[in-house]
Amino acid sequence: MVIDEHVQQQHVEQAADRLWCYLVDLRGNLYAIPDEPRTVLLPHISHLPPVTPLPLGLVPSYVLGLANINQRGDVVIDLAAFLGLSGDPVAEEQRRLLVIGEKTAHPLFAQPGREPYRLAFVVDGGYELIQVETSGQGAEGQSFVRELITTPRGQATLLEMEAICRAVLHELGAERPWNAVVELSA
Amino acid sequence: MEILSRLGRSLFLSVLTGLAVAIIVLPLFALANQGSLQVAVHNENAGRADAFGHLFNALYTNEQRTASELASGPSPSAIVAGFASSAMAMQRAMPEITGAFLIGPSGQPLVALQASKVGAPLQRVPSGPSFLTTDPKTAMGRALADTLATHTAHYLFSFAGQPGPMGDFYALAPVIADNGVQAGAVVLRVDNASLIAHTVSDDHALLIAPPFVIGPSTPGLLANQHQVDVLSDAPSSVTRDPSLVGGMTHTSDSDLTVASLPANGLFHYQGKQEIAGFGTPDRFPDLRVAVHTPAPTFVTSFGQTAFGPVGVLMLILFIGGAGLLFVYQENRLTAATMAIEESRSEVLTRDILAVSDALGQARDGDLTVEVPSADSEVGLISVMINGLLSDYGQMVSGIIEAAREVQDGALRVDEGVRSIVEIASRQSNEMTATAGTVEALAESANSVREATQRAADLSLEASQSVHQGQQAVSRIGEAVDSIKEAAIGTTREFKRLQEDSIRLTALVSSVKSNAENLDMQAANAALEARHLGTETGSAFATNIGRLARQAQETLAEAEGAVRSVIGSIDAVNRRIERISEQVRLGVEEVRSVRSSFADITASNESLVGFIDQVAESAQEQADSAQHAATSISAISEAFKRFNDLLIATSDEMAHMRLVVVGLRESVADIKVEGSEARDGFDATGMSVTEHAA
Repeated sequence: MVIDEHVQQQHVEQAADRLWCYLVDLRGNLYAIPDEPRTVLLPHISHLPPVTPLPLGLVPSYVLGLANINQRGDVVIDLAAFLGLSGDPVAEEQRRLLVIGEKTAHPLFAQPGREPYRLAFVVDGGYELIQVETSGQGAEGQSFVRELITTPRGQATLLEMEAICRAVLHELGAERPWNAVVELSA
Repeated sequence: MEILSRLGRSLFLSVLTGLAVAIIVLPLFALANQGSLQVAVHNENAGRADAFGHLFNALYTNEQRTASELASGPSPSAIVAGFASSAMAMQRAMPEITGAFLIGPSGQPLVALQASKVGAPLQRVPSGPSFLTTDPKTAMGRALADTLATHTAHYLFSFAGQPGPMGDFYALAPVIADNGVQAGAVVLRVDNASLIAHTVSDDHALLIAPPFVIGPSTPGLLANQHQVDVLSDAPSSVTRDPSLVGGMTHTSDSDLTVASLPANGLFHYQGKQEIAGFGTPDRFPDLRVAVHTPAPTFVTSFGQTAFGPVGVLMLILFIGGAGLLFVYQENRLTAATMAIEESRSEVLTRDILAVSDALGQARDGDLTVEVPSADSEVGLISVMINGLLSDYGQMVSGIIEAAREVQDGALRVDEGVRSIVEIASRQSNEMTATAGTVEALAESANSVREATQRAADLSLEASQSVHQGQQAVSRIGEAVDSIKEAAIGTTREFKRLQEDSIRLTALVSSVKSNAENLDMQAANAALEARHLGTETGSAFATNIGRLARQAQETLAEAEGAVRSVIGSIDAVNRRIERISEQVRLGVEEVRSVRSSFADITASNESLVGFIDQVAESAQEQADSAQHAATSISAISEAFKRFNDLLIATSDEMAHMRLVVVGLRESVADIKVEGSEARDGFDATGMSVTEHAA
């Protein structure tokens, strides 16, 4: 397994100055979901679609089930539950669905049968896509929070979505980690 | 005339006496005559038994010898041979004998001889007839037992044509040994047809004999017969004998004809000649029929006695006795009449003198005198005079007593009249006062009438006011109904407005949802554009998203406003509903008030009617009171007049007392029982206190 360190470094440098984020609401607090090369925010923001639940015991409790998102069956994850936030969930019609995908620049993903990972996250509300100033310091280790940022709606918590996606895939028992490029025998 | 009457009475008494004697004596004669007839019949029956004893004399003589042999103990064969030879010898003399039987001393049969038919010789047979025993249940048994016990002969006879043990004639005779020991009995059976033929119907018996046999059972056989005809060739002196037929009386004789025989007549005559049916000659010169009727009864005896010589003799004796009795009584009556006439004359003179003395005392004023009683005609006059004096004395006493009572009554009436005058005066005054009270009552009644008239007017006004109030309530009810209708319409409009607001809220929500979708689509477009590297498109999408969010905010405000409007509409609607409820209550209240007004109207009408009745009653009461006042005044005047009349009555009573005093003085000289003056009163009847006053 070989990781493309170049791509990752280039992506960090670009995001050091200004970062596009989508502001969401989780249990009454403002959070920012970054749109960057390691965790691409796919243009599938929508209301919560019909979700087919999975058998209990096979998946963690924050996994709501499978949903048809743009002709693909993606795993739907309750982000607030994953993060362990307390509080009552909002009404069904206010909840939003965000889809996070791996970077797609690697040529391996162009091969048939080698589609990148996509994870759908459910938040309590979605506001807007904005460009915010960041310190450029990444999260240390496996932390799910990168830093606190200032937005027009107030102070928001910028999440480290790659760490979150890696943790989810790990718990789900995926073949490869998030954004890890595997040499194909072919 | 009197002589004739006495003679008739004597004759009548004599005849009655004769009849009484005849009634008593003649039945005695009749009974005596009847008893003599019955005794004669009995004697003849007894003699008849002896007369027929010759039939057995020969046998008896022979059997005495046989009995001696029995007593000395000869062989049985010798006894049987002796008995058989004797019986056969007798049968040759009397061919009617068809059987001979020797019976032992205890009744057991010893020898039996029988002939097969009349005239056939007797032959020994093993046993005789079965009924030849001493069984007391049969006549033969009783006769045989009696023969053995009492040593007397018996004859048993049975009617011809009736088979059985009694179908023949049987003669029973005792066998007595030389030493006097009874050794048994001999029984001979004689053919009945040869001996006698007879027929018995319900009330008529035809006996054919010679000789006719009378036995102990014959009277019983003929007891119920009204006539017995004896057919025989015997001399008439025999056939007419009443003992032949149980004491019946012979009434006539006639020759035998076919008509006198029974319809099924079949009999034998002397065992030789048979007469059967109608083929026989009409007459039988040798045979005669002797007709017998029952023995004389009490009635026939009485007739013979009463109309016989004894009756005539008694009648002559009775008539003679009656004549002698008449003459004797006439002599006694004449002497007694003369003595009575003399005695009556003396007594009459003495009684007349006694009456004359008593009347003299009464004429002197002594009404207590009594005329002595007498047994003569004057006695009746004495009783009448005594009654007359007694009645006269009682009348005078009654007059004196009545005068006393009248005087006492006059005193009480005087006191009563005074009391009545006083009471009447008092009542007159009270009536006058009562008249005044009644007039006041009439005035009060008039006042009541006027007051009720005013009440009626007020009630009429109240009725009009109630009617006006009822109309006002009706108008209020109509207004309330209009308000109710308006409230219902307003509520309906508000309901529509509320529904429109709800639809508007849904519409705003839909637009808001579209704005949210637009916001999300704008974000997606910005992401797509940025990923494609088109900053312009990304900026446009971002602007679109901003507009969408603004629209969302505006719509949120609009939604809030619409919700506020809906809330206000709900509040107004609730108020209208409360108003409607109050209006409904008002309608019910108006209806209740209307009903109350109706009740008030009805009550007022009843009150008016009642007041009218009260006014009418007050009018009647006033009229009645006025009338009563008038009547009471009249009564008061009447009381006054009554008072005056009582005073006048008191004067009349004083006058009456003077009259009574004069009456008492007029009867004071008459002497009667209890005529002394009462205590406290003098001869005038005035009390001592009155004299003192």
